[in-house]
Amino acid sequence: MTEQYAFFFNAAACSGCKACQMACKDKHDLAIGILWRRVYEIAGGSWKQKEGVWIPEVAVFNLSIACNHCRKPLCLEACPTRAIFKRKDGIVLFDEGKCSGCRYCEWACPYSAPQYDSLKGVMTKCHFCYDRIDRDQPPVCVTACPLRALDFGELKTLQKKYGTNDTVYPLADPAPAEPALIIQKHHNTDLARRVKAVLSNREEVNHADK
Amino acid sequence: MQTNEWPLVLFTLLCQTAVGVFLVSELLTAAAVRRMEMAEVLPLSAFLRLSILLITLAAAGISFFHLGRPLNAFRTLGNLSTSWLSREILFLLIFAACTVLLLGMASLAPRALAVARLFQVTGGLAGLLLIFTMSRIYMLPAVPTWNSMFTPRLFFSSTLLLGTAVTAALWAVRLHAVNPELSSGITAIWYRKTSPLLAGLTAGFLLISILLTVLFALRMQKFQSLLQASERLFPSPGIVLLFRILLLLTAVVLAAVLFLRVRSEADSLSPLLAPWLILLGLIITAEVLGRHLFYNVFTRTGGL
Repeated sequence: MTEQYAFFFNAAACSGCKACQMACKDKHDLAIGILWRRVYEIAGGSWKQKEGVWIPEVAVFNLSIACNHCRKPLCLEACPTRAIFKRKDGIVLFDEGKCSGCRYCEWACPYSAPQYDSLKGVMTKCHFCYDRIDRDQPPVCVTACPLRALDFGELKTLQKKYGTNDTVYPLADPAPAEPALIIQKHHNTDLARRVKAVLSNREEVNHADK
Repeated sequence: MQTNEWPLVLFTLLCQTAVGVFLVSELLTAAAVRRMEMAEVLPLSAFLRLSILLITLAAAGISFFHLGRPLNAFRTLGNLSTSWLSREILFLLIFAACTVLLLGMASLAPRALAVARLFQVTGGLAGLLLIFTMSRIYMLPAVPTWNSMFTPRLFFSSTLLLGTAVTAALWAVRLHAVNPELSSGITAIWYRKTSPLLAGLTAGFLLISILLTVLFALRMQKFQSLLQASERLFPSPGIVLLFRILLLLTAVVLAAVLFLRVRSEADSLSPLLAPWLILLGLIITAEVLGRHLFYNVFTRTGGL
């Protein structure tokens, strides 16, 4: 029995094609503005003078992030109606019938996972394609990735395979939520931190602004 | 600011006003009962309690506009063990219940002082816990701009400022209606004695608000790149901030003038309705701008 499902993301392999994002949106028929999986484009930097020559010092990479089905989900703690709950296999699910649409979970989540459906008046979020998981099939985002930058499985198994790193610039400190996520860093990560790279496709991915 | 947060601006400010008026007016009522006949105190006390109840009901009503599914609002008490929002609603209900009971007692059992004291203390504690839990809602690890002790300081500062100013204005409204010349009656004498205190407290709380606003703005400098990246710069927070500080400074001057006037002309004073209402208008506008600014600085770690 799986104790905690988790996602693996390889930032070094991701080309930013957004097949994962679109596969998720298509399978779940998500409304305009809602993205359960988002590909963040992190970009920053400028020109730097070195020995009389101007050279570019720029960092660009992508982060494909969905709900991380955290071991200590902050959304679940925040939800006043207990609409959010955790399955025995670690998948964090959402009961639409109990949601009051207060959007507190949206604030509490460091990863912008819960997203508000203004037509229904309730929150929505990635449910790890639990319908497919229950049929021993992978989540659609994992299936859709042409570069195999995404993987999924039991957290401990993934940790043995890929290591234990669960954060990368500019993601939040993982300590409070303990995300079930493993990330392979892009080689530009440290440079991105140094040049204070920022999210460059905000209009596309940031539902919270709407 | 997210468009759905105007109801929260009003909800938080109205709750803080209700709690502030409760604390100030019940303290004054408790002090008055020691010096005056109960029959003299009751009409004013009942008027203030009715006002607190109406403000609380308005806050509760407005909060429904924030909800996507208002019919599920009854479920919001369902997670008291971990959700600060559930706890906030619980204390709001206790606070409202104490206000209703105090209001009922004023007409049904005016001499049951011990019971009234119990509801005063319970209501006051519930009110303080309401503001505390309200501020904890916003102290989220994911939102660095809100996650500091500034949030409770700002909320408690608003509570005291609005509570004092609204109590003074309500008191002036009431006396203006029933005893405009302050010609006789113990409440008139009591008003003359306490109005310098209310004006002085208002000026003091205004100075605290200005200080907190400046310190909060300085703290936000740390998150400037995040806030700029989040593109929530219209209207410019700088302009809103400046306007808020100007309003608060104007209110300080007015409160100081009021304080000097009510202290020096205590014997020949009218309720000074217009100055109190102008002062209240300045304070409410400044507080709405301040809360607007507070919601505007929402940003997640990493700006994601």
